[in-house]
Amino acid sequence: MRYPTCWDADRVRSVLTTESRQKERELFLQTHRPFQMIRVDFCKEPGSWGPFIPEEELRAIVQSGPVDAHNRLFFVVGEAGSGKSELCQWLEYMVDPDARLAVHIPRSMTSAAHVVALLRDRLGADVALSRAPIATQADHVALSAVVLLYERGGTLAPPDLWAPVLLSAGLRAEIAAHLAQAGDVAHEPLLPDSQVRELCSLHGVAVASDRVPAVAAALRLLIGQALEQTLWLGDMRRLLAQLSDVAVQQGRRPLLLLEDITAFQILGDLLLDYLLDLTSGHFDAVIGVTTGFEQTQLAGATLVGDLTHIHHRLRARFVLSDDQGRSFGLEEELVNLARAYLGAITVSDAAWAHADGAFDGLYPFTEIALRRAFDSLHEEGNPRQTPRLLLEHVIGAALLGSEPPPITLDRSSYLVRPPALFRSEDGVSEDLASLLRWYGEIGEEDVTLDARIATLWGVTAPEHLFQDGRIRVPRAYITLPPSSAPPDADWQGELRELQRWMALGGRYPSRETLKRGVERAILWLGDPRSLGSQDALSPAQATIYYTRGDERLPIFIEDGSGDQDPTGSYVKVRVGRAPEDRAILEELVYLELSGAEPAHVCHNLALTLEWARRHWDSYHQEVRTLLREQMGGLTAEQLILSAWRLLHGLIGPGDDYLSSETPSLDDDAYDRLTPWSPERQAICYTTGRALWRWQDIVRRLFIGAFTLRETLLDQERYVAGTSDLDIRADLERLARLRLDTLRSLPFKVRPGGHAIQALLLPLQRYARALHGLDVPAAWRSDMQDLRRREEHLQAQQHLDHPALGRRLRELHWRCGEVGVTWHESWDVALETLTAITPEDLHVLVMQVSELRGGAGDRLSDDIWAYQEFRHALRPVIAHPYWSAAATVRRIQDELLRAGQERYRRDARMLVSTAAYRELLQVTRRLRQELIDD
Amino acid sequence: MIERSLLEGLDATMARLTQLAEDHRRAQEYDLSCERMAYVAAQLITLQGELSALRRSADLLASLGAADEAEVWRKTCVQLRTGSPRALQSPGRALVTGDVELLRLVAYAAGGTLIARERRILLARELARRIDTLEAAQSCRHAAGDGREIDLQPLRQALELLSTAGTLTLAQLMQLETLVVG
Repeated sequence: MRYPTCWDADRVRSVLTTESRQKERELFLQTHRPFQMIRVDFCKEPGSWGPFIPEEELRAIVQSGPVDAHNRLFFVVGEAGSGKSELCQWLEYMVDPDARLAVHIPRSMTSAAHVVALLRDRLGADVALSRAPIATQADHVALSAVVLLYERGGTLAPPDLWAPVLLSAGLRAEIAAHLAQAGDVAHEPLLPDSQVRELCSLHGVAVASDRVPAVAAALRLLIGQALEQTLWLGDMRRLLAQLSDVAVQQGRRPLLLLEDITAFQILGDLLLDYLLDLTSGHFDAVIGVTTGFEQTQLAGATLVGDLTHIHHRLRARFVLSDDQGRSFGLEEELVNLARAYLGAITVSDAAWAHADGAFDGLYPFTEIALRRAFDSLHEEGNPRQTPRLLLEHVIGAALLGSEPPPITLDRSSYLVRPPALFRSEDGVSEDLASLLRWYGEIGEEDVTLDARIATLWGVTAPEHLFQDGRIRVPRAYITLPPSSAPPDADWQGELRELQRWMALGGRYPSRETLKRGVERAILWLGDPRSLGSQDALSPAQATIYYTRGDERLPIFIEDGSGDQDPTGSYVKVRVGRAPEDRAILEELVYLELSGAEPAHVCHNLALTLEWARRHWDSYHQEVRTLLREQMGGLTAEQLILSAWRLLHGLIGPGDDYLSSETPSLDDDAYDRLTPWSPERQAICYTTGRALWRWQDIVRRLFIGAFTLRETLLDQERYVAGTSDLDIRADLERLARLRLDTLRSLPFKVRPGGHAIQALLLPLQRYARALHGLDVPAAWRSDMQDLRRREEHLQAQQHLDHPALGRRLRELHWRCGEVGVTWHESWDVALETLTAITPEDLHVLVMQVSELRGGAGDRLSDDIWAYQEFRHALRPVIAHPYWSAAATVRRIQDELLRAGQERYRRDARMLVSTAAYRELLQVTRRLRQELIDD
Repeated sequence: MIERSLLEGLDATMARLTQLAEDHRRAQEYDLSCERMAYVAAQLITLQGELSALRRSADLLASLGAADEAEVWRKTCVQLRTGSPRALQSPGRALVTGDVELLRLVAYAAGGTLIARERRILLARELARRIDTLEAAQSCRHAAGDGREIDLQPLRQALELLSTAGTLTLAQLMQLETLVVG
């Protein structure tokens, strides 16, 4: 790029000085632009003020006090560089010298000695600074330094070592020499490093050569503090009072212009204390204060420690910048200000005469470039639009740079590059992009630039972009309709970060915005985490859902954006920085920031949707693959169909499983439907009951995966799913699932939020139970049972039913006789048997015979055939006769058990007992006695 | 296993329950019989003891020359032999049925005991009187200088035993027999 210039660098530096006071009066007045907007926080002078006044009114307020009025204080508050010193300088130049004695203390004059000298100068005093001889003053300063050394300590330790140095004749002579030239602003600094080295060596103080600068600085600081305390500070109040009195006697009122009180320490506090003591003098004092300093430091500087105390003593408080660091009125004055400075610096040159119209007399800027650069000004991470930053880092930098301004501005650390708002696929080079970024005029549909600017600086552009003397590049975003909410104020900043990441990779702080935009686009196509059918419309549907992370779609911005890589089971939508995706990603960021409709933002909605579809498919496939890998090769559809088949087998044929009616899940309902016997197929029975409780979830999953509406099957998906289903193999896979490894499986069933492993647990256990069932043995057992039932029924063929009724009644009262507790359910059994007819028994026996005969041909190891048989068997063995007969048997058992407990069975023959035999012996002896007379 | 009808099952259950009740009743009757037997046995043992004591008393008096008193024992035996009930020979049936035969046996044992005890007391008094007489005679002989002496100590011990209240135990009877025979 070419960069024709017509200014002298020294001229630039002399005009663009940091301090206003650095400029000559004429130059100052040439470049000074009046402050048109100074905010008046309060003003105690008569009149109505505010909220904004121009600088002339400020001057009128400051000058409105009578000559002998007590101190009047005015604060001028503003960010650094907002124009405080410019205003003070202007006041100094503009004040009526017959009525006012202006004392301007610039920021650079922070030494007490300088200030005292300045005050004496304004006082017209030509006497020495103090009446005491200089040598005595030097001794005083040296002794004071020794006292400070002992009291404060610090680098110069131990004090005993350094006290002789401070009190040495050589040092006191140095201090005396320093005092002698104190009135001279340009006097030599006290104690250069070389002199300190000599002094130390003379007094036997060993100081390593690398420590000499630190020791010298500490010595200078110590002596400087001693100087201020012993001489200048003590003299300050007296001097100010003298100055005030002298000025008033001359019919002039002193005007103290303190550019920036922030720059002072003890001196500042002293000055402020004097001025705040309103009766101490007759000063008008305009004091410059930075916003932060006023809030944090100034309050503590007063005896009361309260900022209110200070404000109560102010006559007025003027503010130059707002809370965001923008100088009031500068935006409006921006062009005029730049024009004034550029006018003072540049001279016309034929080199760009042909293009001068493009710059409108602001070469090398245009109004657009100036405003864009002004808006992009930042300092310490915050936006800050102050005159100083504009002059130093926009105008000064551009004029002193060796390349055209767009390049210089791109590289400035004080400017945040505005985002490129044009589409990137139009062959725009880097140089042209830079030029368009700063100088381009942003229209509703394109970004344009006067072609002369590009030509002057040698920036080339594709032929098709030239149109009517302008370079036109289509805009990336279309202006939002008036009804839309304006985008986030920082949208350009976020767009800028995206473009930087797209170009270079690396950290992308505002990537969350891109993620939300990407999420929004992908979700237009449905949630890729859902593994159900996208065509399912039933409100009863449920789907298996990938749930790792929070509710938001997990998105990974690649290439070191700051995102963590997807790991293992944490799969994310991957967004890379492929150049061809740039426009779409920018649109998505803008879409998210603006909240606008895609049609308003997306240049080509079909392309954006195609991009979203690609990412949707890729991510969806990743989620499916993850599930399949974790489930030993089972897909979501296979899982649902397997569960569906298992439940079908369990529930049996005939019910409308897809009906919306919520099935009963109590144990009785299960017992009525299950094919499994709780005694003979206990594991199948128990695990089947656990799965049975999930039937509604499985039904809803089936609806979500294979229906269009609740009872309208999605034939295509269903046929595809079933053709892919090998129920034997899938049963084995389910049975082999390692549940301990599935505990952290990041899938849930929605709605409901059931963890997928909660469904897998009963499924796996039931599958394992079916897999482990010895089907042939179960067949045989059932056939034996049927045979026993048939034999039993055969035995009842000639049953005397009236006699049975009588016996059953007898059974009841015999239970009472032996104390068997009668249960109500036994009545039901007795009633059933009493009411049963020979015909009933005949039908039952026929059914049993038929089942036995029919099953004979089907005996195999097929679990599904066996389940069918069990379902056919269920109504036969569930006939109330069997339970009634079993109940009667149980009652009989109870009766006999109670009888055996109640009745004794230890009766014996008396004559066979030993006692009886003894009795016989007694009678025998008795008779013998009577015979032996 | 041969299946049977529900009715058959119920019949069997009822029959078994009836059998259990019958067994229970028999056990209760056996307990009563045992109690009766114990009572009767005690009565007969008492009777036997009294008769033995009466016979020893009669034997002692006979050895001292009191033939009339010795006749008391023989008459008592005749009296009890002739009045003995049939159940004394085979008391089993009377004990199980608890009918009048049992009452007769109990009355016989109790009555016999009273008779034997009354007669034994009479014989004991006579024996005491005769021992006293012998002592007096022996004292006279001593006074006359006759040095012969009869040992009356066993007789006194036997008398002491026979004078007890007719509740001699088998051991006491054995002791008495030793004293008298020895």
